[in-house]
Amino acid sequence: MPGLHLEVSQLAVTGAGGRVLVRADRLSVAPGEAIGIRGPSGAGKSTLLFALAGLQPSTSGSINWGGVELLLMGEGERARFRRDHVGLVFQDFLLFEELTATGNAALAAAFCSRREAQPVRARAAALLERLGIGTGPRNVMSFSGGERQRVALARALANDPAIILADEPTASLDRETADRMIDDLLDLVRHAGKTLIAVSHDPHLLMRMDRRVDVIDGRLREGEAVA
Amino acid sequence: MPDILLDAWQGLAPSLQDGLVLAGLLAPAVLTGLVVTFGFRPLVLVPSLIWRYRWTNLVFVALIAVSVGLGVGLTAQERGLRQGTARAAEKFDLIVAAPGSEITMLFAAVYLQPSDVPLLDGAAYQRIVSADNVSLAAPIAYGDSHDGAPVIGTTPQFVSHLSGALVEGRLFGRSGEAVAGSAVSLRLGAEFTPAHGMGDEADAAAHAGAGTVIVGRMAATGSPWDKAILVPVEAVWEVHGLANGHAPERSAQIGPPFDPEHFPGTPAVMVHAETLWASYALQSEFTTDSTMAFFPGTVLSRLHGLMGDVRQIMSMMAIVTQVLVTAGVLTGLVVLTRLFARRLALLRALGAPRRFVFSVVWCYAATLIGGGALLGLAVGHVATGILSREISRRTDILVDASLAWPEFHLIAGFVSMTMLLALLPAFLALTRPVIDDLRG
Amino acid sequence: MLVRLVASVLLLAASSGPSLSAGSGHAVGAAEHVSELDGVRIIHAWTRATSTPEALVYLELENRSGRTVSLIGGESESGSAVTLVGLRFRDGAAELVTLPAVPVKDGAELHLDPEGLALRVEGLKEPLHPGDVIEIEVRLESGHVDVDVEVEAADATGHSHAGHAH
Repeated sequence: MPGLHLEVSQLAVTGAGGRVLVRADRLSVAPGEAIGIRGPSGAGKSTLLFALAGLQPSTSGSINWGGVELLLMGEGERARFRRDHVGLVFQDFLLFEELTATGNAALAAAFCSRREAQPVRARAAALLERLGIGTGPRNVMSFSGGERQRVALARALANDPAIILADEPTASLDRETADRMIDDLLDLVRHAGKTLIAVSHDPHLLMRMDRRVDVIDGRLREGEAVA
Repeated sequence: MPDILLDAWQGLAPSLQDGLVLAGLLAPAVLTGLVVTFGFRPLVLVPSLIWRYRWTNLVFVALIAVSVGLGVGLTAQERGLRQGTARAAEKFDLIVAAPGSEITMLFAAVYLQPSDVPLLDGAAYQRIVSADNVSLAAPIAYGDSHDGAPVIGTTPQFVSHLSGALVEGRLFGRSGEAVAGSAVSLRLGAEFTPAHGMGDEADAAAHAGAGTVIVGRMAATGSPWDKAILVPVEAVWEVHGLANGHAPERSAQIGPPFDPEHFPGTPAVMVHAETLWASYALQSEFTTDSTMAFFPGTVLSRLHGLMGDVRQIMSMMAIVTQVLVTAGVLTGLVVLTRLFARRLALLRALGAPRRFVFSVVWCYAATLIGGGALLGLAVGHVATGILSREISRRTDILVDASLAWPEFHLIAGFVSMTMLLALLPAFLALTRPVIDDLRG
Repeated sequence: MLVRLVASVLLLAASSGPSLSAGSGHAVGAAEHVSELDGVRIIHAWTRATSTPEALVYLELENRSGRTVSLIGGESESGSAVTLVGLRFRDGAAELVTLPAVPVKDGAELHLDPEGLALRVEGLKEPLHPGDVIEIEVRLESGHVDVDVEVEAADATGHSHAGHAH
């Protein structure tokens, strides 16, 4: 599925006690665009990312994905939206250690409709082959960090989402592995024209994005220079 | 219409009724499972959750299994004990004794736990023997022992009635010969001298000179008689210095007919009639001022009836214990679901519907409960075997308890009840904040 | 067994439906505790409350007739058949078996007690409630005796007047 256009305005996420965790007055991402979000630890980067996925409670303002207003949806609809349109990648992979690479990559097949499950499995298998993991019977427990993140990437893409949201995708990897990961990520995303929003400290990753925004003290700013 | 239903129900074979009741009891669990998992494949993830915390899960399953196993083991045991005691009394159609306590006499004559009772005299015995439809009337004269084994004076006919053909040797043919019960350690040809009395008070010297040799061995009866040594009743009378039941010119005779004039008395007479109606007629006939007649089976049934309330309480306690253990386990599950809260949060982040996460937690709990119940069946089976052997050893009554429909029903009821309870931790797992859990 | 009980209670509850006034057809009220025929007395006839179509009637029969009397069975308007049954034990389990007759010697008594002899009333037309009285005609070889059977509680073990001298 090609990328979706994102239009954010007057976004504010509040935490306990009404404290504003992150604020974004305006953010616009074109379909197929790849943007990096950077900033110091604790500045609210991940909170912003989760808010864009509809996961963050106490969010106000507007998050409009391809003409659909996320914040007006109920919880079930947001889950449906993520299931259909969003792929998530996390810093520490978050895999089911006791499942195989295929079991993890095709996780969505367990909870989507029977009609949707088959394509998910097929795509998961194809992605794993393409990422060099294969569909062997080994549990991911025995996988290296790089292998795990590639499984996680396959999982994020298995439902053919329009949007990939990645939270520090290279932070748990060594340099060499991280670079390969970046290649894989961008290769897959650009190949299919998906929208990518990645939170990262990694200059190698940020450098290869179309655009970068900074989050400093809970405020979003457009930035140009690579830190 | 309901009458038709009721008639139809009562027309079914008992095992079909039991099977239907079992299905009915399991139905809530199955229906819950179908509703909870409808449209999803949560079982893909359950093995992963179980393996992840396998030792904790194993402890939970073991707790459920032990509580279920002991519960059904005890109820099966209670039934086995009832059947065993009834079986041990089966050969004793009707007991006639001097008026007194039926229960005391039941214990003395059938289970060989002797107590002092007045004796029936020769005239009473003669009336019994000559009554209509009596096919066997055997004195049961207890009181002596050898090395803890009761020595019982009776007739050769009674030995045959009790155990059928001997497995070894022959019936006793004179005073000084004995037939051993199947579990008596004396071998054929072994000699012993009966002691007067039983247990600690047995007087080994009282019957000096009454050397007795084992000439035969009975087949096992599954009753305390397997540990008894049976001798001619004449020998019991003789060693106590009494007449031996026969006129002096026939003093070598063993077994009936006895001469009422020379009949010293017996604590009990076992009466066998060929038909049940005749047994009831004999009971009526010998329920008099000087004799008491009772069916050991009836007295036992009444005792068991008294225990019926206890049985119900026991079943209830078994259920309550199991539910309590399961409540504990489910509480543990609530804690345990925190351990994999991150995985559940991940599922929700990936867009899994709440009901899917709910079904994963429920299936996980249901797997532990189901596994515990199945393992409990095995524990119950083993516990029943061990308890049966132990009770058989201590009471000499063969208790052959095994799990049956009531136990299966108990387990099915337990499974349904706890699987419904397992909805709670599943609900609770949904109330957790996704983002907090996701960030670990 | 508990479970079976529950299941049958449920079924019975379903079946008890809109029956007409309970006890219609039963003579409710003072019952005769003693019936007599030619020196044969039948006293303390009782049964247990039940909603199954079967009831076991217990009683005491005293024979002072000067000869042997046989109890054969009975009849009742309340049920389709009344038969004499006894309890037999087979392999540790008790079962009720139909008996042709039980003779009672002159001067002897025959007690029909729980876990022993009983008159089984089959095909009961209505449930029996404590306090009801049903009539049965006890058949002896020498004739018939009408007996009032008092219905005691479902878990009773004896007639509520047992122990009284009549």
